[in-house]
This record gives sequence, C-alpha cells and structure tokens, in this order.
Amino acid sequence: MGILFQDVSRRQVMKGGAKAVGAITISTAIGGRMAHATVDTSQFAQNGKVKFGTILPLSGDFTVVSQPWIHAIKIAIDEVNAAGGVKVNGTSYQIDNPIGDEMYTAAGALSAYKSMVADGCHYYGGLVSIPGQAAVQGVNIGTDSLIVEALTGKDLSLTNNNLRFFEYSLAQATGPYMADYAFNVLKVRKAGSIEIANTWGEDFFKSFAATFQELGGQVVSRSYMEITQTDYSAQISDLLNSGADMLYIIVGDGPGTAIGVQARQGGLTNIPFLAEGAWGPEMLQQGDGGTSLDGTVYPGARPYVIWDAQHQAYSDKLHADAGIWLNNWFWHGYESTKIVLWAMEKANSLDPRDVVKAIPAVVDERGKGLMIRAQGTVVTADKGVFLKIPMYLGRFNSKADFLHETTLVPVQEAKYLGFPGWMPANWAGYTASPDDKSVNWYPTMSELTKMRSDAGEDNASVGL
Amino acid sequence: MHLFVQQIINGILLGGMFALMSIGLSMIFGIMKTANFAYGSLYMLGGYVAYWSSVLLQAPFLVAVVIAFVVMFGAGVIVEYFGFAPLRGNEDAALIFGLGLSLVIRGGATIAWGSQNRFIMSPFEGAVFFGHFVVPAARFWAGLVSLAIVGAVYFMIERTRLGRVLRAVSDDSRRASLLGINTKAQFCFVFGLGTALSALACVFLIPVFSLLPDVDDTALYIGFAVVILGGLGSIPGCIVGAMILGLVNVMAFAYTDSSIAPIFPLAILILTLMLRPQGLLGKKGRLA
Repeated sequence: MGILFQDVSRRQVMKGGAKAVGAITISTAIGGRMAHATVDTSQFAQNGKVKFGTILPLSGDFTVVSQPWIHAIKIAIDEVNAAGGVKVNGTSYQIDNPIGDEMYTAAGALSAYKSMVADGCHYYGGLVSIPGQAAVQGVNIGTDSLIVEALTGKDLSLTNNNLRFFEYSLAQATGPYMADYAFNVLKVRKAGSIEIANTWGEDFFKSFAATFQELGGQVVSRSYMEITQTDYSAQISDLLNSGADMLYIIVGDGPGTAIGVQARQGGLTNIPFLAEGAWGPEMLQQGDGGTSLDGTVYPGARPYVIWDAQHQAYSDKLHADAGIWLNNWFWHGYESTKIVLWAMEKANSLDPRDVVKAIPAVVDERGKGLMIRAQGTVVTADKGVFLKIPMYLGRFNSKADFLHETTLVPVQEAKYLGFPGWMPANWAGYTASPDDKSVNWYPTMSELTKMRSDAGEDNASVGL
Repeated sequence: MHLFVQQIINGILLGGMFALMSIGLSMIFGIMKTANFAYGSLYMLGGYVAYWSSVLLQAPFLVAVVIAFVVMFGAGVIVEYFGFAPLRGNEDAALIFGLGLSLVIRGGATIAWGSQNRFIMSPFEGAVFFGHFVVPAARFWAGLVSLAIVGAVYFMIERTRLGRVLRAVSDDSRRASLLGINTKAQFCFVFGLGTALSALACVFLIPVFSLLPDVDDTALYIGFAVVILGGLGSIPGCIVGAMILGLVNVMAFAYTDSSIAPIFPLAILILTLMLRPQGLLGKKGRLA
C-alpha cells in the first residue's frame, strides 16, 4: 500500500482507536479540572474593566421587545459606572457592555456567546429564545460565566446549572393565578389555548390547565404554533369549533399579536384573551391590532402596571435616544443587572461563582426598595438562584398614551396584585431532574397554597 | 366534518392570499425570465408606502392602495432600468444584485421604521358567517382581489395587443427588437407592473398578517414556492399552486403536529421538482 500506509488488521485499528479515545477523554477531564482549579480572578477584568454582555435578537423574531431590554441593561450599567463603577478589593472597575445578536436562534446565541467569551466576558443578560438559551446553557459552566435569565420552561430552567440568576417569575407560580382569574372573575368555563411548541409554552399551558380544571373548568381546545408561522386559521377554527369562551395566547411579540388579530377576524369576536410572553405597547400601536387586543389580561412585574417619575424619566430617555417605547420588558434588564453588579461588591469578587452566592444577601438588603419589589430569593443546591418576584395582572389599554402612562391597567381585585411569582422553597422541582415523573411539576392553586404554607411562606399578595 | 369543511375554506382563503402574494413574481419571471430575489423587499416596501400614506396623509385604505401601486410601479421601473437591465444575460450577477438589493431595503426599513408590527385600518373588518362557517372579511376580499388581478393579468397577456408584444419579447427579445419593439421599455413596464402588483398584494394582506420588515422573507419564499409548484411563468399555474400550498399548509397545521406541519408544503415542492420540474401547468422549454 505504499510507504504511508501499512497493512493493519481490524483488531489493531479498534485497539488503536480505543486508546486514542481513552487518552482524549482522560486528558480532557484532567485538563478541564485543572483549568477550573486554577481560575485566576484577574481573568474577570481586563484593563480595569469588567464585561457584562447582552445577547438578544437584533435581527429576526422578537426584536421589538429586545430593544428596551438592551437599553435597560445599558442604562443600569451607565448608572453604576457614573457612580464610580464596581468596587472590589479596593479597586473600582468600570463595566463594559458588549452586545451580541441572538437572532432568535441557537446558532446566533452561541456565536454571540463564543465571541464574547473570547473577549473575556463572564456575565450575560438577555437570551430571550428557548433555542438561544438551550445553546448557551451548560456551556456557561465551562467558561465560568453567570447568566441572568428571564423566562424558560422547566426542561431548561430546572436542569443542573449553578451559574444562573433567574430574575423573573416561573410559569408554575403564575399559571394558577391566570386560571383563577379566568374562572372566578371572567367567569370562563371552557378554555382554549394556542401555544408556542416548546417547553416554555408547555409550562404555561399545564400550569394554567391544572388549576382551571380543579376549579371545575374545562380545556376544550389546545393547539400549537411555530415561531415562523404567519397564518393561524387552522388553530383558530379549531378553537371556534370547540366552543371555547376564552383564548389563552402563549406567545408574545409579532406572532402573539397576529394570533389575536386573526382570532378576532376569524369569528372569536367577543371572548376574552389572556396572554403570556413578550408583549409591549408596540403590539397595540395601530388600527386593528389595538382594538383586537384591548382588554387582554397579562401578568407582569410591578413596574408593568404602575407609572411614576422614574418611569417617566426612562420613558423620555428611551424615546429620545432610540425612538422606542418603555415597554414591559425594560424592567427585565434594568434591576436584575444592578443586582448582579451590586453582588460583585457584596462578594468583593469578580468571580461569577462568588457573585451568584452574594445575590441573596443583596436582594435581602435592597429588594423591597426596587421597582420590582423583590421579596428575597430561593437558593437551590444545583440550579441557580431564583428571584422572589411578586406579579400583577393587568389589562391592555390600547388608548393609553404610551409615552406617559402604562399600557397595562392593574385589575381591580387585590388578590391578583402582587401575588407570589415564585415556587416555594420546598417544591421538589428545585431539586429533582426535569425528567422525574414523580414530581408534581404543575401544582394546582390549592396544592401551591398548601405547599407555600408548609414552607412557612406568606400566600398574601404584596399589593401595589 | 364541520371542522374539516371549515379548514378547507381556510385553505382556499389562504391559497387566495398566496396567489396575491406571488402574482407579481410569476409575471416578472414568466415574461422576463428574471429571478427577482428583491421581490420580497419590494413587496414589503410597497406596504410601507401605503402605511405611511395612511398615517401621514390620512389616506383612506383604497387611496393608500392606489398610492402604493403608483409609487412602486415607478420604483420597479427604476430598479429594472438601473439594476437588472445592465445585468441582463448574466444570470449570476442579476441574482446577486437582487439579493443585495433585498438586504439593503430590509436593513434600511428596519433602521428607518423599526421592527414592530403595523396595521392599517381596512374597510374589510370582522367576519362573515355562512351558517356555522366563518369567512374573515379581510381574507375574503384579499382572495377576490387576487382572482381579479390574476384574471386581468391573464387577459392582458393572452387577449390584448400589449400582451402579444410581451409574449414576443418573452419568446425572443432579440428578434422582437429587430421587429421594432422597444424591448427595454417593455421590460421596464413588466417589472414596474409586477412590483406594483406585489405592493398591492402587501397592502391587502396587512390587515391579516400585519406589516413589518420581516414580511419580505414570507413573500419571497411563498412567491417562489407558488411559482415553482404552479409552473414557471404560468399565470393560471399561480392560482393552482397557491391553492395547493394554502390547503396543504392549513391541513398540516390542523391535523398534524405543529413541529412537522411546515414540512408538508416543502415536501410537495420537492416532489414537484423531482417529478415535474416545469411545475404543474408549466411547459418545458418555454416560460411564458
């Protein structure tokens, strides 16, 4: 066979291959451990600056809701920088805010992430898409990076990954309240839903359905949609045919708006809408979109439903700087970024593994003074830190002056204004694998209330 | 059974909208043999012309339609005269020019107008009930407009003197030129008309799908899918292809898992390319 190739038997090839695989595995494992064991804290800052990256869609789907979020992180960082930066070990560090395009895809998120990692970034905010989050999660552990996350489904958010800070509510905690509101206030008895086909959509639907059925309601139609879909007539006809007297839209941004508009055009003219996901004033901006979605019930953090001088200042700034509205998602980035930056000072370290441990103390000290009225944290053994964030139900008002008032009018009933948006600390979901079928992943309102009482937590709403 | 019939109605209505979306592309492709990859962007631009006419000039819906038609006819003529015409004969260059123009228009639209969904108040609101069956008014009218346009374009090409000239240019532009036909002017007219029709389609579909820079992708993909399925350059094929795609799309989402539903229209397209590459009503060796 020539001098470059010698005749070899299949057994020799197998033995050689096995040795090579073994050698690679062992060296990778040892290398990984050594790399982890020898982390130098100076690697977290370069030239007196710490990087806090934002990865959100600048193109593709969900760009509308991303814009205020991107600006929110930047404004929070600008404010901390203007106040002297983050002080650690007697040194003040300014914060850099690189921005990457998630493109609402796994490839986009991973590409942006890798690029920032290469530039020495160890803190990340944003990541709105399930594919984007799925691509980055897990990789962050190997690169010693803390991810600040908003919404995910249990199959993503309840996996083992300690370097995560969840700054928003869980579907398992809010779904029962949506169902309770639909049944007891809106007097709905037959519910229908259109949900995005992923773990996030499934969590919201199942959390809602469990309580709705416990109350005596019936889910008569459940259909799925894809993010690339533009026509929803098949799902809407199914819902209409089922006799549903409400529509639960479990997707935000453009697709959510389009479902609402097409549902009204398709014969669902009078039934109430409930919605989850990324919605903002832009969704209600003009013409048919406005009238179709008016009155839709939507859950949000406290700043979603109130408007004060701080809102006005940021609203003016956003509109002047970027021509955008202060939408609901501004608050996702703003205070959670500040919590992480304050935690650096609290930990007196720039190492994300120290910083994530300091977040609970920061929230305990400052949480109730925040706009979002954080009530503390749930610290898990393996899954990161979950913010205890009270949630508020509001109803869309398309006639609101978006520059000067909120688009979400808080509902009348006190029960739904500031209810717990987190799962109690004794919930098995915080410790179990997401695949564990013995866990009650979607407790009903009564089960949730009991669980919370058993954990010694208050079930009462915080109020406005 | 009732739901099944309703889904058939939904599919036909969606097919009508797909036909409306693709008629301009089919005409340009059929007569000029130009694969216009800027089609989706020009379609979207037409929508914005109507939208801003409606917002800034307070133009009623039908006036906004007319403004978009006229403005985009002019835009189409300019794109053909300065863009595609100098590249005629070099298909690769024309393709890249189309893609480049598309990126420029889309990027410009996003920067200038943002990426939020926008709507125009349409006179065709609400739904019409036929017994238990529902027909959304906006879709119904989009379907009717689609049929009217396809009929008018078919009549123009097959039954008028202008149509004979266009067919002559389509068959052999050099020979047509030798006969005294100003082929450059004819190409500009066809491209302008195709672009104007795309704008008209976009405006009629805003009340259903809304308007944002991303709609260019939808129009381009659906436009090409319909044209390939129905037959390259065949105007009746445009209707047939659109109806099949509309029905398959709705039925797939109604009766299969949403994660695999988008595969069915693509599978139909691939099968067509394998078994009948010229499309269902297309002719081998002749595009118009």
